[in-house]
Amino acid sequence: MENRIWFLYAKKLTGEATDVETRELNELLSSKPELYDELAALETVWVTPSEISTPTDSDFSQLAAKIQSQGYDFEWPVQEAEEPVATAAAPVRWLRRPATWIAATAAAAAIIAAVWFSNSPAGHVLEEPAMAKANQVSTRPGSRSKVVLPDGTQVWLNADSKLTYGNDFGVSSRDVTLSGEAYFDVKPNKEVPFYIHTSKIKIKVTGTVFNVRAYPNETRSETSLLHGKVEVTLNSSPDKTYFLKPSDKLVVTDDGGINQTNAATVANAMQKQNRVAPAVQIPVMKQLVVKPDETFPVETAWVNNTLAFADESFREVADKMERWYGIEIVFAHQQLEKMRFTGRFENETVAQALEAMQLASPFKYTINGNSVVIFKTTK
Amino acid sequence: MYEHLHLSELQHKIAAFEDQQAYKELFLRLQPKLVQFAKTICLQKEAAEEVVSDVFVRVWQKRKTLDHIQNLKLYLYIATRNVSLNYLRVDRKHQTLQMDDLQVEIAAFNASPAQLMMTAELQQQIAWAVEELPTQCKIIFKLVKEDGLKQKEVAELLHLQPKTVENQLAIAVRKIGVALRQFAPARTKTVKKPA
Repeated sequence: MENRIWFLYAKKLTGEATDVETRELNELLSSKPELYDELAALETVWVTPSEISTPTDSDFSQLAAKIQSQGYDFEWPVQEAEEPVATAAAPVRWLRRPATWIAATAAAAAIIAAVWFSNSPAGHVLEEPAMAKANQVSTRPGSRSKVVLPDGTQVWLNADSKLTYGNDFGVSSRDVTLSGEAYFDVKPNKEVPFYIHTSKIKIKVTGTVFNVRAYPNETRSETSLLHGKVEVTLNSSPDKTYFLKPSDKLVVTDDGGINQTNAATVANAMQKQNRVAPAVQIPVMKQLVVKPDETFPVETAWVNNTLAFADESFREVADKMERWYGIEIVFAHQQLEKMRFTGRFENETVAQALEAMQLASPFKYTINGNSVVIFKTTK
Repeated sequence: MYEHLHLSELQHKIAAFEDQQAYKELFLRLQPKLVQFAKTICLQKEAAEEVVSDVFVRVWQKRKTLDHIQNLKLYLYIATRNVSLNYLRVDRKHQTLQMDDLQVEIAAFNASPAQLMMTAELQQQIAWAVEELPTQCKIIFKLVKEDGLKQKEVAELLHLQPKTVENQLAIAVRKIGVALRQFAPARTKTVKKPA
């Protein structure tokens, strides 16, 4: 019996005991109380970390040199540079998305979906900077990229987004302009705060990790904070500051009554009334939710190569899919836009994603090149 | 921020963004353990380090398809095993691990005795108990305890039946438990019952 106890206890230590086995172990132990101390001591030994050396930066530099010597693309400073300027030239790497969708059954998706075709790098050309003195990084629909700013701040840029910063970035100020969605890991520097300007809001950061979603053609603008703290001011009412704590999400929505065509006249009217705001912005504070079986909230899923949505309308999901896959989605029947979906996609193709969604709610679709049409099922 | 990420998140970042920071974190996290494992086969530290750097070069070479790997950690251990065996110029047809040829060193427990309410004498006792284990038993204990591999993963890595791994680990745990036994009475009042 004692051997059985050791057998079960070993499983418990490695976290691989089933519920049945745990119950059996507890029952056996109740008749062997003299083993308690021993097992407790054993558990202490088990959880004590073993003395294993940690590799140094120079170990990694050696590996980097080996990779380079074998002709693989790996940008790593040869000497250990002290000044952050050394990373200024850190290259932008383009993520290549599939150019062609692979037809496969949904069942097979999980295993073989990830056959990716690379576009030629020429397919992703940096736009000419608008100002001569500014640096601009942009992504097309269907592609994402990561950039390291001169101060060491890391920025992941989602599809169809644009990040601009001046040549003097990092000297006396750290100001960037964002159009689209980005995930920031800002290098802490109390002396030089980091500012992000978008069409609707301004964010002040000292050193933190967060996600900003501010696509110009969307009425919503979202700031999601993971670590640290940020301050958000609305461009329409710069006097008021919103302080975000970790797991806070600030959502700013433009007033739906103002659309593109009459925005100019409304702005004129407002200026006459000595009002600054071209549109009414309504900020709402929400909380990021991480489900128990997931490691990241839906807001930052894209950084982990996952397209995710939580109880969002088909229209919102379609907007995300358009950018994610670099496609265009048209609804033949407008009422379909209101259907709501929750889901996560990793390596699925457009067709596989749509097929999975069909299981949740009935609709039909056709794919023709890069355009998708969604229509009602005919009864 | 990367030190808090799950291995699969690092894997995604490397595959999707060719993220060198994530790749570096992967290296920092697993290289020492993989070198230890390689050393049980290659016997020499320099050779083990060479083997593991080859494995990591291969990971970077395959970065774009890294997402296809279901269990990256196990993949790295298996790759390390294979490259180590190649290093020994073992005939490919008979490329299997010979347990008797392995040389397994168990790392010292890191915490100070005071922290553990464990005397140096007791630590020594445990170290001996582990040292006395048969090779197969010892490598299984090492891979599960130090490397955090699941028993099924160890079975796959060492080409053993899962049942064998379970039984061998139970033996290792029992022997250490017995080593602790003679010291247990003195500690009766300070140790809580296991949950």
